[in-house]
Amino acid sequence: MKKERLILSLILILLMLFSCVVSFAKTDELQIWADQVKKKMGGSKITIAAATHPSIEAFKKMTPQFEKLTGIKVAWDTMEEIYLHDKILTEHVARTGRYDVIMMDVCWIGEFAKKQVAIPLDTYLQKAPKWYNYDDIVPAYRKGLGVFNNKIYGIPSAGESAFIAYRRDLFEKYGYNPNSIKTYDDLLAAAKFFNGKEDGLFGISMRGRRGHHIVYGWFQTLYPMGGSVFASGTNNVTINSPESIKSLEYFVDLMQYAPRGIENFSHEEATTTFMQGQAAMWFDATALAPWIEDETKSIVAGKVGYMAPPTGPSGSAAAVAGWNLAISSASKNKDVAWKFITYMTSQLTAAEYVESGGVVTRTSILNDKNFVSRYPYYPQIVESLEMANVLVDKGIDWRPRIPEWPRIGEILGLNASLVLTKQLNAKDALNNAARDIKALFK
Amino acid sequence: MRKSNKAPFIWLAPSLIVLFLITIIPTLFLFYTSSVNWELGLPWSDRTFVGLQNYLDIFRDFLFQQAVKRTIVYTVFSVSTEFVFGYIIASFLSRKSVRWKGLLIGTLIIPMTVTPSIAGLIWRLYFNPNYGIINYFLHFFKIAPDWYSYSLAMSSVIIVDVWQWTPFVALILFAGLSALPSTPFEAALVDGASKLQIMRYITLPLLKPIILIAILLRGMDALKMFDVVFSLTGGGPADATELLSMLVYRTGFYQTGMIGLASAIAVVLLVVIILISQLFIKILGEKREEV
Repeated sequence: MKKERLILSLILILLMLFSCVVSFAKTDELQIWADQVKKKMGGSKITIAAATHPSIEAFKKMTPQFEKLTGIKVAWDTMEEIYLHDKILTEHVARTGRYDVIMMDVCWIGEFAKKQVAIPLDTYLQKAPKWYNYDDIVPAYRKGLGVFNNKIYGIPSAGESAFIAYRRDLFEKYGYNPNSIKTYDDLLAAAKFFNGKEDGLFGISMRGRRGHHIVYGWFQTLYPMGGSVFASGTNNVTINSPESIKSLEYFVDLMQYAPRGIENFSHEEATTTFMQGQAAMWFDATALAPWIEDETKSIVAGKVGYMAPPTGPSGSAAAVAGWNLAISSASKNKDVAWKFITYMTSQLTAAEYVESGGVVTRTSILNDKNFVSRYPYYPQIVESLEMANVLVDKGIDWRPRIPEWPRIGEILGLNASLVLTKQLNAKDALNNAARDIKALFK
Repeated sequence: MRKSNKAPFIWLAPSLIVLFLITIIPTLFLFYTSSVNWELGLPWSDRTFVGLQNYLDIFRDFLFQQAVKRTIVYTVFSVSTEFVFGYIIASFLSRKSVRWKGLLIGTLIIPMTVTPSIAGLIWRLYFNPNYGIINYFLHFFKIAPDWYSYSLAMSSVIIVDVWQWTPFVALILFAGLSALPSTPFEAALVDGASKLQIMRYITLPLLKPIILIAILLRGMDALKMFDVVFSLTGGGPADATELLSMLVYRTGFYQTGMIGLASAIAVVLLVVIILISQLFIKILGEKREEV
């Protein structure tokens, strides 16, 4: 009896040890790295300026583990996206060094590089541990989000492209084949078909609020229709070219079939309207798909299919947008800040990041069978990203990453909104916009 | 004697110093920044002095002219509506037959306790043409206005302001009404004056100083209206609700960073508010002497 017990307990102990070894081997490299960091920087403190965003929620969930491993204290300063830009700039002007890590929208990268708010990270990246694997980050994000003038200023922490979600149940009910939507004309026809088909049903939901929201909506059609803001690689304004004008006219046409109130819709209202079952289609950021699939908030969860953006006369192109983590130039703890970024955005921790609700940025996760089965829209994200990469490879920025972009975005946002609200026609509005943009470069 | 002359200044000194530090210095600095060309985020040494150029620029700017017009429209409509409703509520409350007066006044205070930017957010949901509560109730009457549209957006903002600040006007007027002497009213009743005559010739003239205070406070607030517009419509659609403060914010911060121009607009706004309030205070002073 005693012997049996002894053997049993021995087996149990062995099993426990074995499982320990297995789990240890996985995080072995991480542990060694963390021990080194702890020795050098344990006890130091960093502050992060961040926007309210799912990726930040995920990072916050991962923070206690990071603090335990490295002994670095992390403080968060989280605020609304619009304030974040102003706050970072004012802190920068005052040279307070209050922030070590800053969250940077791709639209700001040119401005932040020019004003030296963020520092280049190339030298840091060269010294990054092997398990970090920078090259695993989706190419469209790597090249399209974090780079300015061939220097890396930010590590993509949340990337997104755009795609279309459609109500599978409605498409089946009315015998409309979603695969028949190949071009932008097809999309217009489909929106028209479903608009008003049922009581309170609209064709397609997008964003139309003045400012960068309407620019985001309209730009989905800009590049596929052959339009652009600048002639490739120059500062020659082409936003009033016939193709660009046509793309804005198309967008306004499409918005006839959008829910009422579209002129005040940000991504929130655009998505909520779809989640409430009031639109047959939705065309917005891939990062918002989790909202649609959230059964507690969305009555259409599980009834939705996804497709990549359609093709226009000038081929296909898709949006790249997203956030970077960058290091503030005024930081007194730049090395510590880098360790934080390394931990949060590495390949080794990527699965944990996505599990905690983060926004996928890595190829390894997008192709992981385990994740694909749980997030049905991953294949369409990959497809959209390939389209996005077409632009990136051509050297065209979906939203030009130049220091003047925030101002240009304001100008375009106002003029596009004037067209959407029928105050001006597309030609006059874009001529005005082109005039104002040219004035910025004088 | 000398000592007693100095004494008040010693007691005033702390508040004067604070006032100087947090109000007067920034205002002087505002005048200075309105005369330079500087972009937020660039080193402070990169600024260039341009004199009055910023003022010339804004007066030529179409958006500025539009914003001035809209601010005037907004102020006139919201303050006058608040006054009319406020007066009706106040005269209702001052009736002797009204019961539960304390409870009614308590309820009136609720909208005022809501932070304006939060009120804007709440109303943004209410006004949503598709799932908002307002259109839900209106659909029983077979109407469904698009509150966000170019033509209605301004009225949406005014409605929120009226909802939030009518109680304030009502309470001030109610306090004024309760403090009126009763003898003129009794005399009027003996003389057989009608209700309308009493209101026109007795109540309103007696109440004038109080009315002016209410309008002055609300008018100044309405001129510098920012939070509700910011969270409700963001100044849009297009430029439909872009009031002056919104324009200041959009020019100075919000991705544009043209601090010089924004300061110039802010100075114009400041001067307008000071002029209007001086005018009111002057009228108020004259009336007081008459009474």
